[in-house]
Amino acid sequence: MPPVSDARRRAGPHGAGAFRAAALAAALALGACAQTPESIAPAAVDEGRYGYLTCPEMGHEMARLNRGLANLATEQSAKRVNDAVGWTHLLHPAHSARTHDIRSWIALHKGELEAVERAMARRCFRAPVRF
Amino acid sequence: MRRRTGFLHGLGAALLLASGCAQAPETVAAAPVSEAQYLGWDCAQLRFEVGRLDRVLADLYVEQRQSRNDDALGYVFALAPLASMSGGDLRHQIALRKGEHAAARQAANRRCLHAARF
Repeated sequence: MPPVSDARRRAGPHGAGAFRAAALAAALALGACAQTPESIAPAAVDEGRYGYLTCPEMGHEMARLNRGLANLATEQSAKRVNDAVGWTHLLHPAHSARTHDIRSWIALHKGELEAVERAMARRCFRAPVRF
Repeated sequence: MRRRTGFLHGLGAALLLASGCAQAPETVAAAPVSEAQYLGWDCAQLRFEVGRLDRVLADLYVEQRQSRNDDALGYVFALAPLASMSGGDLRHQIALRKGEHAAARQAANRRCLHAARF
C-alpha cells in the first residue's frame, strides 16, 4: 500500500478530491484575471507599413502610439484592480468576465511602436540606433 | 486552524487590493521615450513642448493625488479602491509625460543654444 500523507488521511478520499477540484477551479479562474500591461509581448509588425512616412511624420506617429499605449495600459490596470476586487468580494474576476480583452490591442500598439523605431533607426539615422 | 486560514485569506486579499491602490505621482518612474519623437522640431517648438508638458504633468499630479485620497476613502467605506477601479490611477500617463519631458529637454539641450534656460 502506498504511503498516504497525514492531511490526505485526515481528509479522506472525498476530501482529497474536493481539494483537487477547488485547486483546479482556482487555477482556471486565476488564469482569467487580467494580465499586467507590462507583461504583454509586442505583436510582430512589418516596418514596411511606415515606408511612405517622412522622418518627422514618423516622430508624430511614435508620439501618437505612445499616448495610445498609455491609455490602453491605464484601462488594463483598471481591469486588474477590478478583477482583484471581484476576487475578494465575489470570488471571481467579475470585470474580465464582462468586458473586452484588450491584450491584443496593447500587443499591436507595442509592435507598431517597435516597427516605427526600427524604421526611424534605418531611414532617419542611417545606423542601427538603439532607442 | 480555521482562524489561521481566515487570517491568511484576509492577508492575501489585503495584499491584492493594496497593490491596486494609486501610486504616489513622485514615485512613478519615467517611461523610456525616444528623442527621435522630436525629430524635425525647431527650438521654439521644443521650448513650447517642454512648457506644455510641465503643465500637463502638474495637472496629472493633482489628479493622481486626488485618486490616492479617493482610494483611501474607498477602502474605508467600501473595502475597495474606488478611484483605481474606474481608471483613476494615472501612473501610465504620468510615466509617459515624464519620459516625453526628459526626451524633449534632451533634444533641446542638444539642438538649441542657451539650453541652460530649461
